[in-house]
Amino acid sequence: MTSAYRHTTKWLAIAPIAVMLAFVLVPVLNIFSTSLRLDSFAILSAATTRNIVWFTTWQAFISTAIVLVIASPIAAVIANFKFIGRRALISLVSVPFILPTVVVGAAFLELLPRSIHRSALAIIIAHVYFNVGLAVRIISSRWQQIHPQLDDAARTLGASTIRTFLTITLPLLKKSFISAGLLVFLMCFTSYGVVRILGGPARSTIETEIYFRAMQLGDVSGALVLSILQLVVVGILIFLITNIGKAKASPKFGQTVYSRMHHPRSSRQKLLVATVAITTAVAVVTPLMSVLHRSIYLGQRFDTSAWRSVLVDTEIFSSLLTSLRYAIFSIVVSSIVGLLGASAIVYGSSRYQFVNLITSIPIVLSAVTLGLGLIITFDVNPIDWRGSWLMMPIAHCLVAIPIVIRIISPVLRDLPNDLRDASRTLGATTWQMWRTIDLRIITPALITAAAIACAISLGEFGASSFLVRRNNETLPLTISRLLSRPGDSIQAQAYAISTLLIVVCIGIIAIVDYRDSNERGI
Amino acid sequence: MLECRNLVVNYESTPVLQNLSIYIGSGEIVALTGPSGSGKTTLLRCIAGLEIINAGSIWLNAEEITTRPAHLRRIGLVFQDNQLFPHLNVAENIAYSLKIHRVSKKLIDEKVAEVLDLVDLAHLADREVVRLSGGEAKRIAVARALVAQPEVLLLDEPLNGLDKELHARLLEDLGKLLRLRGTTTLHVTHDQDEAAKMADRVLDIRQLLS
Amino acid sequence: MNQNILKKTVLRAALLAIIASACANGSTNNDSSTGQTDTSSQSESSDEITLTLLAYDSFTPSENIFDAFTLETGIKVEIALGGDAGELVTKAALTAGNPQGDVLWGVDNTLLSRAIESKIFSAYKTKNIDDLDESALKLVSNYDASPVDTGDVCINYDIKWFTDRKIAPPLTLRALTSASYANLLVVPSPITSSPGLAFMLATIAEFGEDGFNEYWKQLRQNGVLVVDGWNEAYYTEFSGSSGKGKRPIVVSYGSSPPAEMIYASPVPATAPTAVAALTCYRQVEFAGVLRGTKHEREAQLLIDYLTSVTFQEDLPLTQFVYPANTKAKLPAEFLKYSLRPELPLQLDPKLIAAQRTVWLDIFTNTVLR
Repeated sequence: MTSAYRHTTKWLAIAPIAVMLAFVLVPVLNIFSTSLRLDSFAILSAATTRNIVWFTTWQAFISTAIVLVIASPIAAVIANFKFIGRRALISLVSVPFILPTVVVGAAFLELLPRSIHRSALAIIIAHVYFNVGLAVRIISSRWQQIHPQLDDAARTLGASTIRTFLTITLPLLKKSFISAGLLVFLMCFTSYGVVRILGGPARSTIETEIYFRAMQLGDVSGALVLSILQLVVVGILIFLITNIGKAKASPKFGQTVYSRMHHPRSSRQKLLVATVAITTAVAVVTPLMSVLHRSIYLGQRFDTSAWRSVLVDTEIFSSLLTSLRYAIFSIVVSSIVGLLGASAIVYGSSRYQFVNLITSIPIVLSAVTLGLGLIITFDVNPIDWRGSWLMMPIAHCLVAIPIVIRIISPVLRDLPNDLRDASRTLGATTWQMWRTIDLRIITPALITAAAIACAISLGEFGASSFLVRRNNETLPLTISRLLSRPGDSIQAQAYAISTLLIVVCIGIIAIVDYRDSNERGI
Repeated sequence: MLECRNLVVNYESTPVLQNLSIYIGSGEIVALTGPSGSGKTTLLRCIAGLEIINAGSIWLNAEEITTRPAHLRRIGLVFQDNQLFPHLNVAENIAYSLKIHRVSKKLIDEKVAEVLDLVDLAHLADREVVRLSGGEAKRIAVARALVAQPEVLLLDEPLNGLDKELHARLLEDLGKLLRLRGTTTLHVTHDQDEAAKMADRVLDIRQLLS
Repeated sequence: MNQNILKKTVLRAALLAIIASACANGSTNNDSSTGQTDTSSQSESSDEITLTLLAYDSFTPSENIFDAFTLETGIKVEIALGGDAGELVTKAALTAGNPQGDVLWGVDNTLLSRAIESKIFSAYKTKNIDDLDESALKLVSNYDASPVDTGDVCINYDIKWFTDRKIAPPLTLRALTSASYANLLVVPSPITSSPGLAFMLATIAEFGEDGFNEYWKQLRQNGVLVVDGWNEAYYTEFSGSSGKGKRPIVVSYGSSPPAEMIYASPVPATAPTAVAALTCYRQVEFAGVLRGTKHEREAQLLIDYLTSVTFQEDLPLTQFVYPANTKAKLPAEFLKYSLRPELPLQLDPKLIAAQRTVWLDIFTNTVLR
C-alpha cells in the first residue's frame, strides 16, 4: 500500500462499487429474496448434487493443469526468442479465448472423432484450447520482466539450462502461474457452452445444472441454491490459493520489460523454437479451419451460397454493428471502472480489499442467476431498462471488469514507490504524478486488459442471453440461433458468420498486439 | 591459467572483437581498461561462455574450453548490477552454486559462514536481498561468485557508481580477498586508477587486438 | 506522452457520448401515466402502438406476415426473442404481472401447467375459437391461452436404409427394444430437448409410469444413443438427413419427411424418410395475452390474428407445424408426405407438471448413469 494516493482512494473506489452495487448486488439480492425457498436446500444432500460438484471440480482442475503445462514451453519460446512470426504467434494463440463457445463447440464436434464426443475428454480438450492463450500471455509477459542476466548469473554458478529454469525462472514466475491458473480454473469451472455441446446429456456441471433447473424445470429456487453452492466452493478455492501465494514475501519486479529475446543459437534451440511455434500454430488453426470448411462444403460439395447470403443480409450486418458497438462500450467502461477498482485495491488500506471481493462476484456467480436478477430488478420506472440496449453491454462489462482488475493490479502493486517519490520531489501534483508514472507503466497491462474486455464482449453469451432481444442481437446470439435451426444451408450460414467473427477477433488482437509491442520497442 | 587466442566475435555482422588474444597466469590479477563500447564486457561474457565466438579459442589450465557450456566452466562472473536472485535471501544466494555441486548441508553452512566472514557481512545471512545497500549487495555478489572456488573470477566494472569512500574501501577489501584466495582474476574497468591499485598487470583492450 | 493525452480525451468523449445516449434512451421510458412499466411501446404519436410479441428463438414466420395485421388495425408488431420455450416461461413467470412483452407465443403442452400456475396470462376468448382444433382446446380451461399450432413428435426412419437391407422398419415403441433394431436408434435427451421430452412422455403414456423405467432399461441395453439436442440427433447422427449419420432411426417431427422434400437440393423423387405413426406424441403450442400488459385490447387483437386463417396458413412451411385453425389450408407437400396419426399419445398437462422432475430423475438414473 502506498501513501502516495491515500487520500484519493475513496474517490477511486466509488465507481466500481456503485457499478457492482447497482448491477450485481442489488439484482442478486433481489432474485434471492423473491425466489429462494428454504426447502430447496434439500437438493444439496442429493447424491446427484455431489456427483455434479465433483465432476465440475475435477474437470476444471485437470484442464487447468494441462493448460499450464502446455502454456509453459510456448511462453518460454515467446519470452526468450526472436524469430519470424513471433508476433503472429502471440496473437494467434490468444484468438481462441475470445471466440464464442458455441462456435468452438461446433468446430470440435466436427473435428474430434466420434468416439470421444460426449465425453469428459472432449470437454477438457476444448477448455485447454480456449485457455492456453490466456496463460501464455500472463506467463510470458511476466517472464519478460525477469532480467536476462539473472539466468546468466545462475549459469556461471554452475546451473544447466533446466536447472536455471527450475530454480530461478520458475520461482520468479510462480505468481504468474498462480494468477493464470486461478483465472483458467474459474473459466473452466463455470463454463457452460462447452459442457453443453461437447459433454452430451450425461455430463453435468454446476452451471449447466443451474440452467436446467431454472429453465427446463422451472425450479428457480433450486437453481439459486446451486448457485450459492457454486459461490461457496469457488470462494473457498480462491481463498486457499490466494493465501498459499502469500506465504513468502514475493520479490518486487521492476517495471521494465527486458529484451530477453535473441535469435535461437544452437540447433537444439532452433529445433525447440520451430517445434513449439509450428505445433502451436497448427493446433490453434485446425479447429478454425474446420469452421471455414463447414461453411463452404455443403454435403461434400463446394458451395459458396451460404457466404453469398450472409454478405448480402442486412440483418446480419446490423448484428455485426451491434457487436462492435457493444464491444467499444465494454472496452471503455470496463477499462475505466477496472482501473479505478484496481487502484482502489492497491493504493487503499486493507479496508478497500473488499472491493476486490465484490468485483469478483460476476465471474464466480452463475450467469443464470445474474441474468434473472437483472430482469426482475430493472423493471420499475424510472429504471425499467430491461428493454434498453444498454443492458446487454452492461452485462458484458460486469464480466470483464473483474478480469481487468486482475490484470492491472499486479502491475500496480509491483510499481516501486521510489519512482513516485522522485516525481513528487520534482514538484509533480498528484494528478501529474499518476499520469506520468503510474499510467505510463501500466499502459501495456491496460491495453491487454482492454483487449480482453473487447474479447469478452464480442463472445459473451451468458447473462446477456437472458435479456430479451429485439433488433439488438449480437453475433454469438445470431450464430446460436441459426445453429439451432434445421437446414444445411442455414447451418452453413452460421458457420460463415462464425468465420467472420474469427477473422474480426484475429484482427482486433493483431492490432492491439502490434501497437503494444511497437510501444515497448520489441 | 586462462588464455584466449585470436578471438573473433561479430554481433549481427558488426565486428565487436577482432582477433583478440590475452593471457592471464595462475593467481594473477589482470586489469583490463578501454573506452566504452570497445568490447570489454563482451570479452568477459565469451570467457564465461555466455556469448558465441565466431573464431578463435579459449584455454583454461591448458585445456580447450571453447565449446564447453557455461555451467561447466567453473568461471565466476560478478555482474555490474550484481544480479542477486531476488527470491532467495543472502545465505541462499551464496549457497546456490554449492547446492548444485551437491555439497552436504553441513558443509554448505560452513562455507557460507566462512565467506560471509571474509566480506564482513556475517550478520546479514538471513536478510532479503532487496533490502541490501549498494555496498553490501556488491560484497554478497563477490562472495557468491567466490564460494565455489572458481578457476577464474571475472569482474565487470565492479565498483561502478559507488561513492568515493565506499569505492576506496571496497577496492582495498576486494584486493585483499583475492590475494588471500589466490584467485586468477580478470578485472574490467574504465577507471585507470582503480585498475592500477589492485592489479598485477594493466592492459588496454586495444593493445590486445591485432 | 501526447498519445496518452489523446487517448484519455478520446475515452472521456466516448464515455460522455454513451452516457448521453443512455439518458436519451431512458427518458422515453419515463412517460407513462401509471406506475406500470412501459417497455412494450415506443409511442411516436398517440395513435401508433407497437406490440411486443415474445417468442422462442426458432420462431421464424414469413418476413411480412404481420403487414396484413398492421394494415387492418394500425398496430405494429415487434418480435422479441427470448431463448427456448422453457426459458421463456421461466422468465415470464418471474415477471408475471409486469411482463417484458404483450403477447407470448410458444408455450407448449408440457409447459402449459407451469405457465398457468404462475399466472402469466390474462384470459381471453379469441373470436376464432370455434375454428380451433377441439382436442387442443380441451387442454386449456378458462381461455387462459389459445392453441396456435399442433405437431407430432414421432419416430422417423430412413426408408432406403431398411429397404437396402430388406428389414422391416420399426412401427411401434415396443419394437424398438427388439434385437433386430439394436444400436440403430438415436434420441435427444428429454432433459435438454423439447422433442426429447415429448418422446419420453410418449413412452410414459404408452407403458405407464411404472412401466417406462423398464422400457428404457431395455432401450439402453439395445444400444440407444442419447444426444444433447434434436439438432445433433437429426442432423449429425441420423442417416436419413443431410448429415448422413450412422443411425437410421431417430426421434423427430411428423413434419420432418415433408421438410426433407422441401429443403433437400436436389429434390428427391420420393420422400427419403417416413414416420411410425403409432409412436407419435401430440405437441400443442399456445399463445396468450401477458397479464399486466399496457395494451390489453390491442394484444387481444393480435391473438385473434395469430389464430386467423391468414397467419395460420403461413405456419406449415415456416415452422413445420400444423395450424390449430381447422379452416386453414395445408400446402401440397404436407398433404402428400406427412401423416397425422388419428390417436397420438398424450398426457394430462397437470400430471406432467407434477411429475416431470421425478420422471427426469428416473430417466437420468436409468439411461444416463
